[in-house]
Amino acid sequence: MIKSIESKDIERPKSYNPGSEKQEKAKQSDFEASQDTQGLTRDSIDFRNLYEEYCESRVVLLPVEPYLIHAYWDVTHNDIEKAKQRLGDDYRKSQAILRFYDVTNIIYDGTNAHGFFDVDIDLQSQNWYVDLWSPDKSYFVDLGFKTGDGFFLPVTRSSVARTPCAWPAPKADEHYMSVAEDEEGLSKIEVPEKPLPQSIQARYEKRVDFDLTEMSEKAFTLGISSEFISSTQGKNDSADRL
Amino acid sequence: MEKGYLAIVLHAHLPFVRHPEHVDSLEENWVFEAITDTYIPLLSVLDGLVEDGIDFRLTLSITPTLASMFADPFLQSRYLDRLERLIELGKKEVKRTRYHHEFNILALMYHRRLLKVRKAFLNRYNLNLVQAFKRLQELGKVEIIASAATHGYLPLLSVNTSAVRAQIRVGIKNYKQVFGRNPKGFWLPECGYYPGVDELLRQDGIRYTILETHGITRAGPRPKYGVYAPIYCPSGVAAFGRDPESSKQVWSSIEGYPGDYDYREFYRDIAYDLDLDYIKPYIHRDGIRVDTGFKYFRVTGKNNHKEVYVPKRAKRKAEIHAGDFMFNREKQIEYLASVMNRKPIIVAPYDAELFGHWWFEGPDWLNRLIRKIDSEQKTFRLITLSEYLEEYPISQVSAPSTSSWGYKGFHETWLNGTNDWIYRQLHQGAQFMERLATNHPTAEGLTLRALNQAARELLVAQASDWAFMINSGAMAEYGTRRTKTHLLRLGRLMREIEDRKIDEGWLSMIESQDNIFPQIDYRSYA
Repeated sequence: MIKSIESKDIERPKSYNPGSEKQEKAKQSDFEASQDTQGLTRDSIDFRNLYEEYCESRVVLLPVEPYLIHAYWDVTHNDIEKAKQRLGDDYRKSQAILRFYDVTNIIYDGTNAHGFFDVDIDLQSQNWYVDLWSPDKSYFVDLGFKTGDGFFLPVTRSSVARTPCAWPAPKADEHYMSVAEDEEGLSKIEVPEKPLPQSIQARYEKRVDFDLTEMSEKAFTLGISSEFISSTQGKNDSADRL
Repeated sequence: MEKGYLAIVLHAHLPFVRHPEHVDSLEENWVFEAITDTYIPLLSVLDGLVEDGIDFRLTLSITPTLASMFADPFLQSRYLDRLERLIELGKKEVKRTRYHHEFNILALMYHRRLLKVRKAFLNRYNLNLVQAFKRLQELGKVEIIASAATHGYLPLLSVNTSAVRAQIRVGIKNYKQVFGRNPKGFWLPECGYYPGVDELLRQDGIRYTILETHGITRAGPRPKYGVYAPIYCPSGVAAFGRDPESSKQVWSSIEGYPGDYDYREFYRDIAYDLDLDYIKPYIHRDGIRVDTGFKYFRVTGKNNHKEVYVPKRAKRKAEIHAGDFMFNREKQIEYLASVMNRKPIIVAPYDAELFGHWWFEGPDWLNRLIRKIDSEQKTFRLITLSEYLEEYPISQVSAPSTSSWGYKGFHETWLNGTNDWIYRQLHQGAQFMERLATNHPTAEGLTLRALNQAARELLVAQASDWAFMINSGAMAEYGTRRTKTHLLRLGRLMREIEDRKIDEGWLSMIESQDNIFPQIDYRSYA
């Protein structure tokens, strides 16, 4: 299901929820299912039945990779009723959304986010995958309802999550530290860099584009180990047999 | 004097798959295969090096779940049973292949190997492999590092700091009990790093950890030496980065050594090739075919046509590949030493099970490599990561980047449409564990037992192996079942504790089944 999204001043790729297809397949496979109550996924363990008083609405952000973030949520019956009361007739026509706030490298004071964008969600699915267009950012979300005239009623807020970097950081001043162990743990002392010996200094001067980080990054193939081998991968799976 | 160093790191892990409730367990067989194919052969190699007076260094991570299975008398005894059956199969195979010379020499080879393995397991190692590795550490040849309690994938558990802290703390405590000293290094499961986990490591006395390449190359500010020197996280914990070159030569399914056409083919086991009637006593009693280790074919080529395995040819390749690997490291270190104002370190971490189990000739290759390094060159030396830090206590400060050594380098393997559903349960479980710990600052008797068992159940539910299995499809049902079983046990324990009505019979039953971490303290979650 591809939903269209709005943004504040920013052109964004469409977000989507590919997880729901795979989740369907997982549901069809042969294992016990718990009761399908209140829109819970078929295979979730309903801790709410165990501990009603401990459960409240929540939304959690889990970055997957630099350009993809996963969100899951629970919205209590009470909170839905409150929203219905608050929005009245507008509730039925409102859209459940995740409002993402970009708070990269700032301390959020309620007003100073870099910007925000909205993602339409299907409240019943309880989770969503959102495409991002820039890596290495900090976000939190408000889950809530947006009415036709643009009014937004937040229901619950996540904590801040940071997406990973997709490339090396820029070169900057280097700082060095000496670390030793003492009775209280690690003792750290900032130290100046040792000057380069003449022979190496000359080499640096000859090769202006020299950069070991760049070299390592270029040689790097993302995660070949897990793909090739795992202690429990492929065991007893006749499909892998030649 | 050497110009640089090579640090080989082997990560040994299996999830906790103790199933006394089953007469014959498919999953326990993973442990038995790993002991026969990897751990005893590796120990033989290392013991051999010690006996021959070869100086070497190796860093080894042995996870708490694996260590506890090694030391478990129940599993030790089942392993011996398994060995007996395979030795008997070996005798039959020798007889069955007696008119086919090329297969017969292989049957003889496997039969002899199994006898040697049994002898080593009984006599040399006294059934407990942990002690064997501990001895190598005490000799100063091997540095064993700690890891998370049940190999939880920490970045995805980080929503609750208490969950990560408990995985680290229980893992380190277990290490201290088993190895009798404080660990200096910590293996992050799947090299799963996120900013902040290093601070938790620091709080429990860890000096260093190891990251996938891009965890270092994307650190901020840009590391001057790439992955060829460690960086200090701002917390003071050192982070070493994997070298992509040495990694590719071994790991790559395209260019790596294990895919060589003369090496043994993993996927042709007699369990699948022979008549069910013949093989039935040696596979799972329900007729499910499991590997016996009797594999008679070599890789041969990229397609399904396989020719008979010829040990001499494989040994020759292992010799060539060991030389090749060493030569490449020499060239690499010569270059790096010429542009760095310190001796470079090449960090080469691998799953231990690659050696012997997936790559049959792996231990032989490693043996040859270490001997060559010792006698055929002087450019570099083997080193442990602690030794390198001792020589270079000063390093650049840089904050590593979120990363893992999983497919595509981040969290996708453990968080996608097949397995994302587990995280709301795991996070909720951790929250409830925190509440239990806070509500019960002290406890005794039955309540104490229940609280500690609740902590155990949460830890076992958090094993990254389950999400991995669900994703890979091969053992999806098993992974799902394990996650749910342990979370349901946690849920029930929680209710019984809060209602003050603990079912002792049921508690005793799950205590004996999920008997890991006997000295766990639920207050790790407070």
